[in-house]
Amino acid sequence: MFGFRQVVRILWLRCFDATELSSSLLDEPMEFPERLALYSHLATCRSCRRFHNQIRRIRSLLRSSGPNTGSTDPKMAGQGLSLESQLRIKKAIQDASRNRPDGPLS
Amino acid sequence: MTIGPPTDSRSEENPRVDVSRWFDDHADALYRYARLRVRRRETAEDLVQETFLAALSTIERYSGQSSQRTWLVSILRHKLVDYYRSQAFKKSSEGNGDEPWSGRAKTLLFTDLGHWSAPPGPSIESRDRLEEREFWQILEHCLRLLPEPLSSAFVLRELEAMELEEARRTLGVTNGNLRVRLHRARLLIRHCLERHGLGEEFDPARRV
Repeated sequence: MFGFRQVVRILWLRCFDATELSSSLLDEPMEFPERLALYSHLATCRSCRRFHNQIRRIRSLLRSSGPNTGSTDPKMAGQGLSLESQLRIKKAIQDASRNRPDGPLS
Repeated sequence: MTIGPPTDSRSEENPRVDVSRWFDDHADALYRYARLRVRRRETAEDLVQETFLAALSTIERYSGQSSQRTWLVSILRHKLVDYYRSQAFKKSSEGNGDEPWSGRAKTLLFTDLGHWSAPPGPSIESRDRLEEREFWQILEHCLRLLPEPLSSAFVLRELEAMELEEARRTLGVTNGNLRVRLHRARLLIRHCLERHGLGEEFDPARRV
């Protein structure tokens, strides 16, 4: 059976601690007492239920876009490198290309 | 975006190794990828440059099976992890034992007794209602508002989908510390996204 501290935790879980459990559940498996504490709390607390669902929603929004979409979307033109940086980096790359041991690439 | 003279016709025969075209095709996208994930503009620029240089030196290994973009992004991700690792090392050697970030989420969103003072709204809406571009701008804005220890944990875990143990090693922290960072980061990011237009009761006037 559960120890006294665990029973206390289940009965008196505060919202702040509930959100920590919701967060933790996104990262690693959870022991049964914690899981019970969390879901008992969620059953009666609408705000924590919202938090619980929304951090999952945020994860799926962020992870659903592969490396070729989202923040690298071409529609974000104007959000790119400044002209100055472009020239600097391009030059560094061209120099490196010219100095390759097996000759320049192009 | 094209700068400099147009690439010459030789490149048509072997576009795989045309360095100048590479840059024009991918630099901005790589920069945006990096910029979302690091705090400083200069850092993002350095990462882009390092990515191209690394690509150049390992070009023989590029099989051409993945797209150039995918290949370059995968190199950039390695550079990004290296950067986070070096930052973590720097911080631990500075002996920064104080962690002022841990209390902020709590005092901002909860009462002293641990109840919500700023409870979540009904939902975080799908980004479909926003322009794709707007969504990422809001996220970038919100990430910048986080203290660095929180944003780095959030980026590695939620954007890069890194395994927990790998993220822990990259940041050079204990399990418990990472758990706290992620918790605080999720509280603050959720709150920020909601306030900046992803909440249901969307009021443009409230947007910053």
